[in-house]
Amino acid sequence: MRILLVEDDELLAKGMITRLKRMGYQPELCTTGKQALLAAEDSGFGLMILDLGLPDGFALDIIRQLRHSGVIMPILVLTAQSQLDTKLTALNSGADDYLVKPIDVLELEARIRVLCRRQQQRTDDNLHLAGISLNLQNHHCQFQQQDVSLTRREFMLLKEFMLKPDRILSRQQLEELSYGWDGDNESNAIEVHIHNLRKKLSANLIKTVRGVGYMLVTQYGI
Amino acid sequence: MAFNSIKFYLLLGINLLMLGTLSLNAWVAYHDALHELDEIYDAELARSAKLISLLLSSNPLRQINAEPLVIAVPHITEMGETLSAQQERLLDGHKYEGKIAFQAQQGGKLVMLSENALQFPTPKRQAGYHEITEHGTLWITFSYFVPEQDLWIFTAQREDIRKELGAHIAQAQVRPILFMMLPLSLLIYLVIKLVLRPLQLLQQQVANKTPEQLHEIKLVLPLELQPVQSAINSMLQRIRRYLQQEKRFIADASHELRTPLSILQLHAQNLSSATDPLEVAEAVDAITESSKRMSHLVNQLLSVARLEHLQQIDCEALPLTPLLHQSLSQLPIKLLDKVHWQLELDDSCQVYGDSTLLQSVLRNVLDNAAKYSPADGTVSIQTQRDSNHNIMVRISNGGSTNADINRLGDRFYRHQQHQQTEGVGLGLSIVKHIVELHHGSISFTANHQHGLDVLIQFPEAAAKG
Repeated sequence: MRILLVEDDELLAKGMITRLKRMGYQPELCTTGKQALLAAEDSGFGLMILDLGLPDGFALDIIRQLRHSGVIMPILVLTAQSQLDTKLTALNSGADDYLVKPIDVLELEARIRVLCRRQQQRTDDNLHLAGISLNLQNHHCQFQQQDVSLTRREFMLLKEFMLKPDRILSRQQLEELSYGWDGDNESNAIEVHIHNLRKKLSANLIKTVRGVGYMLVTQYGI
Repeated sequence: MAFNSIKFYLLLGINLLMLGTLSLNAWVAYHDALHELDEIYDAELARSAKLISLLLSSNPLRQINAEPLVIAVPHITEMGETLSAQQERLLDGHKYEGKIAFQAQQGGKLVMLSENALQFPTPKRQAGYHEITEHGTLWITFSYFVPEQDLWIFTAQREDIRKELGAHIAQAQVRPILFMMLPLSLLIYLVIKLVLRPLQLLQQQVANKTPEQLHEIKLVLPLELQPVQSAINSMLQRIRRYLQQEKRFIADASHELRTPLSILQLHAQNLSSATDPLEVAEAVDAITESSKRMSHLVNQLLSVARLEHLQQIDCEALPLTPLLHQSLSQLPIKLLDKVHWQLELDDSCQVYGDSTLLQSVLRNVLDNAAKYSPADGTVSIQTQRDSNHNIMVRISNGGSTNADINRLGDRFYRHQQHQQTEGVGLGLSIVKHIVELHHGSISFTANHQHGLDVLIQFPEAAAKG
């Protein structure tokens, strides 16, 4: 899942990016509100983490504008401002959660998962589909009751497939998910990860749709 | 009612004044009445004497050798004072009749006397009024001589009877005063209470103020209390502003402390689970950088706190030019090299102050001027003395931004475009405070090069010798 991180402090952003990647997310960084508004037009983000103290103006306006234009992606406000009225204004403007710095990364991770769970209308963090069980919290994966160990990128791809079963995910979508805007785009990298997933799970599980992308098939012949 | 109160003093004062005035009035009336009574009684003594003499001369007593004639007077002296004048007018005379006694002597022989003249004092054979004390009683007597018949008429009256009447008159004066005192006092009390009501209202309003509720007091008050109300309101406004400033300071300080703390925590947690040497290096760098930022912030905060409690400084006359040179030399080399420095200094300028504090002011302003100037820009420093004996230091840079000039110098204020630049936003606030401690002023104006002119003014120190 791609996360839009809006944070102007370079050091903090760096640490967050490292952490979020390790948690199995693909963060993209914006340092100003203007950038954030442009980036949010890209529908590929699953969540936005927003710092309120942005250099070019009030982050609260960003929330209002996004909500006004119908963007429903969860927005988690992460800020050093702890006053009640700021909290209330942010939540009332359309933010889904409000965390005050300093934060514990475990809490941040849990809250991100909670927001996604609500967004995807799930009751827990376990995905079950076509014989695969995927735990989004501890990244534990089982296929037909057998433990399967996945790399970070494989986990990200499989999670995306399981959240959107029987739907074609384009190559570009999958590449952005794995490498971000400025990642290394070796043309065959996605193929390598898909190939590995097929090897670890089942060869027929992920179907190639030529010229378009890939699709997780829930009714497949073994 | 408390003794130390306006109400009490007003009540006491007005009541005493009223009592005093009324008593004086009664006293004067009493003495006037006594005087008038004296005159009436004196006249009566004379008239009675003349009447008796006329009577005796027109109808001389036949029995020369007989016993003197005793005239009966009614004994009704004990009649109460409660009777009306009509009731006192009796068939056989008046009660005061008994209080005038008389004697008539013809040729040294007593011919006639009133019944009550037994205690009559020894009369003086000298025409006119006399005051005679006999058996401890003072009598007023009148002696009248008719030479043709060798007839002496003496009339007399006891002085205490006059006093008694006087006392009755005085009592009649005092009684209404005593009756009026209580209701008057009560009325005065009510009036005072009514007059002081606005003061009480104002007091209630002030007493109800809490730090959360410091709104202006808007009462319709009498003219005398309006300045008090506006003074209270302006104080409330100052308290409000101060509280707001403190609130912002706390919010800003916690904000500034929380960000580096977040960085520390995040990178420390990253470090604990890092496997990649690159990740380790990144976390360590971030932790180091963030700790530096925090210690700078804490130092600045401590300076602010220290300065805010500093009320007096050790002053000495300091030549300004060496001070500026020293401050410049303390700037980091990379800032010194970043811009061109243009100095126009009047070497005779001297200021009164603490050299360490003043250097930190100059260093801070110069540091800011260079930091927020574009690379290869020019920072000019100008010192001069104006006609009012003020020393002016003008430091200008170019190409900065349209800073919110009014907020420059506020604690933690940093222009949004400069949030990336190193610093926490406490420097100018410290500078402002030090300049004020030196009885100087600092102002900021945007200049034509899109930069900022910082003008610091100090009172001039007189040159030695």
